Amino acid sequence: MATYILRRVLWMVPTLFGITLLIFCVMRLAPGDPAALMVTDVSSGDAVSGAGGGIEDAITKFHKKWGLDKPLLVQYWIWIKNMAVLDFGEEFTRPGVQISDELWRRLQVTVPLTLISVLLSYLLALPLGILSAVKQGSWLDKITTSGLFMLYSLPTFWAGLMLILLFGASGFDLLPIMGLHDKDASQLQGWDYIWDTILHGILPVATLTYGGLAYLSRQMRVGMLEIVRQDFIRTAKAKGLPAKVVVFKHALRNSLIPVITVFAQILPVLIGGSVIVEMVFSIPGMGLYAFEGMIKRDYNVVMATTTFSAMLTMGGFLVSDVLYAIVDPRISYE
Amino acid sequence: MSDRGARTGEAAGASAAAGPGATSVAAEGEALHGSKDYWDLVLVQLKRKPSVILAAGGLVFLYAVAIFAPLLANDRPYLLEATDAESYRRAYTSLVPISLNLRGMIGKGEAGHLAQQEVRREQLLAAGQAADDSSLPGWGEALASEGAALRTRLDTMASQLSATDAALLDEMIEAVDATVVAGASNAADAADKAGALVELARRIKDERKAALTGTTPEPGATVTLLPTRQWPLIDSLTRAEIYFMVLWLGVMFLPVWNGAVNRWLLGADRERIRGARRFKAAAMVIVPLLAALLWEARDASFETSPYKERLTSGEITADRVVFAPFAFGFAEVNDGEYFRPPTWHADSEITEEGYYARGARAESLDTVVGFRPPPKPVADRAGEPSRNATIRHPLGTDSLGRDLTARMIWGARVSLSVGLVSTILLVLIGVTLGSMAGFYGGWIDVIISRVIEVVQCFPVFFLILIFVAFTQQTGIVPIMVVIGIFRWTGVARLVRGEFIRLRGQDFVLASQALGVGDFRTIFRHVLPNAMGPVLVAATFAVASGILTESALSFLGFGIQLPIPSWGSIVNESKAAEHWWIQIFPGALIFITVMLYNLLGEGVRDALDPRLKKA
Repeated sequence: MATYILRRVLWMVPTLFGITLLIFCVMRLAPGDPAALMVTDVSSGDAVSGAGGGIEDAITKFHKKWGLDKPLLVQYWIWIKNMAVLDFGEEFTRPGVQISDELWRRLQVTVPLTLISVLLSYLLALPLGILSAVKQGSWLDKITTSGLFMLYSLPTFWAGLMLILLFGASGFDLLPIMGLHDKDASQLQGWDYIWDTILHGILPVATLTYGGLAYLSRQMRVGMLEIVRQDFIRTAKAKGLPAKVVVFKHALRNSLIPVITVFAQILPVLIGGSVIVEMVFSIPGMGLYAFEGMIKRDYNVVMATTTFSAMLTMGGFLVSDVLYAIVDPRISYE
Repeated sequence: MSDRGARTGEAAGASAAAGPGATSVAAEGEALHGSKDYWDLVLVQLKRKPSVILAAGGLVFLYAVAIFAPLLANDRPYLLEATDAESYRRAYTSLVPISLNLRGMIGKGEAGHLAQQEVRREQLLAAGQAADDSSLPGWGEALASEGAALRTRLDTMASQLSATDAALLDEMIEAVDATVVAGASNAADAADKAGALVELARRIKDERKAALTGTTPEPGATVTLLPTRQWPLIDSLTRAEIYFMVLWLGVMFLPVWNGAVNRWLLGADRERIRGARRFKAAAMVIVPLLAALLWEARDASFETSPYKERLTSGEITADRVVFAPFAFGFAEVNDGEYFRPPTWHADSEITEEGYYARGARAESLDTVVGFRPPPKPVADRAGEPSRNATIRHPLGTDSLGRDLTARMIWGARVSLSVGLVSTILLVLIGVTLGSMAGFYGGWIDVIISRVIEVVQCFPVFFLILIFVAFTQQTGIVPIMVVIGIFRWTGVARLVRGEFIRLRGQDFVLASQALGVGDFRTIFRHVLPNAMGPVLVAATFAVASGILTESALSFLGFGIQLPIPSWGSIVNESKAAEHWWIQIFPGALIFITVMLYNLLGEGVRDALDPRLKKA
């Protein structure tokens, strides 16, 4: 087991190298010079200040300041060397602000949201999938299957907007729709503060969860249906075991195995979707940070957030592979 | 081909299980007309599912809306039978000056013209401009162009006059031709002819004065204008539009013409019908192509047209005018109607003076503070439903007063084509790389698998977003390409798996033993057996392509064309008070994506009937 995990971690090194290379290429080789964009876009600020010699001069200064005048390979080397110690540099647009500090603050929002959403989708999807597989063809199955099918096709941003319309001030006025806290949340104490956070979290978590939930429970249903048809289930039924034991002891355990890998598939979708969800609900998480970076054309911020989200995804892959090896030990001997 | 045989058996087994009535038909067909192939059986399976019929029908309808958008929502009229007093007036008032100019040129003669050209040449050279034949026409050409100017004006006038009234104009056309010929050959009577021409022009000016404001006669009007017939909307269609329209008519009426051809031309003979398949497919491509080549667009397709303004102001007086069902263009701006709620909603009511009766906009009339300026009064315009008609803006308007219905109809073009084209691209890349990795194995497989793993580690949406944001690509083609090149990994993995499964099978070994080349083995023998899952994945990929594009556009990084995409319409306003802008385009995206997913499910069930309950 330990050797399997070690081998799996070692395999991540070339992948990580590929990831950083891809991000670097996309950002640096794409047409458009960051300096030119910054200097022309941002009329005031550090990039232009003190530049007496016009735009060209400002661009050269900018290049020098951020090390953009060095050869590309050297830039790449410096970048990954700094990243190895989690130093993502400073923001272009707000010099002095360490990206790793800001990212850490933002992750404290995004990671809990994502984890809650993953947990919720598993908690809801497993019973739903089992139920509709066991009662295949019944009305219950038809309703849940078509309901989940519709959820599966729902665009995330639209779902968020519709929830805002429905539950926000223009609809039933039941839930807060902006941010993670009320304006006066800092005065709240103990449970009130937590309650405020929960209220604010309901709509974003719902928006983040429904897609994974729909995908997961469909997988669960298909997995159960395949297992139910196997010989050992027929044997178990033939032995005269009660239906409950057949479903929960024989079928469920085996159909859980493939569902664990689904974790690795919904994680990148969730992290990508966090851009939309955090933007729709104005939540100051990593997704919104990346989005602001794109709007402000801050190369450092965007490179940091993208790399970090890829690393998070890769960590998710690792966890799901290890879990898979635990529930199905044959894997680690292959 | 053992694998294909096995699958056919499976599919046939499933069809036997599905229903007794269908089985007997299939069995009868096989007994009479020989064997059906794999895809025949898949088609039979598909046709039996109501959800597939619904999805396919819905998608054909949506694509029809996208393709026929110019005929559905347009600010040009289909038919315009009208008197155009303005263009008559312009032609009429310039007759005498042009004639005088022609007389002047002939008076100076060829020598005078050449001397004048010499002066002009020096001026051009001094200004640093090119002085070639196009800017300095010769004697004959100069006269001919003056003559042509007179002729077009006379034609414009004659088209709106009765035959008797136009007789005088015909006379002048002849005089113009004679003058130009005489002048070019430096004939002695050229000056006389030019003089006669000017006289004729003056006579027309006196005797053919029209009632210039349409029906109300102007003092001194000597003729009445007759209406002409124009087809502005049809004239504005481009060749590409004609191609897709004819193609889609073929698709929509496929059951009709296909059935007719099979029955009357091919005698319902199964073998002949199968033989004719490729000709039908060729006809589907060639007939629209021919139609497009024969078509000639007569009107450069501007985004907006002046017809409604000219009709309203009375410049054009219409006897008969037929507008499209939605008489608004996708780019037609109407200042007074910005952010107007759907016209069936109470808040959209407009008073006699043309102001909002209630809702947020009505208050801004009274309050001086606030950023919202009072709206311009909404005027009734020709061709449009009246101000408070329920069908005027059934889905409301956007920030510039553009009709949302028209924008959604035209937006279907962008949204649907992005999904389709990006999918074609990702299938091409995925199939090529996946089959190479699966067929050859070894280090090729290692490299391609690594690349797949790296790309899959990314939240793909993130990657597409930063790429689009930082390359500042807002065209439709770059977006299609970017979505395609970042989403091929799923298909590649699928194809790789299928190839690994099929690689060692007897039919592949047999084809290799026979000395068939790799290329042919891959594309003729292995790939057709792996196409089923690819087809399913492609159907789902169109759905996710549409979702990706709409999310990009919603964030403001997507396509920024004059023609919007559904996602970019939602981007117009995220304020809850503009609920119609968020609800309707989003619902259309939802429905489209659902139809594609429904189709994908159906195809998957038809290809892999194991999961169905017997």
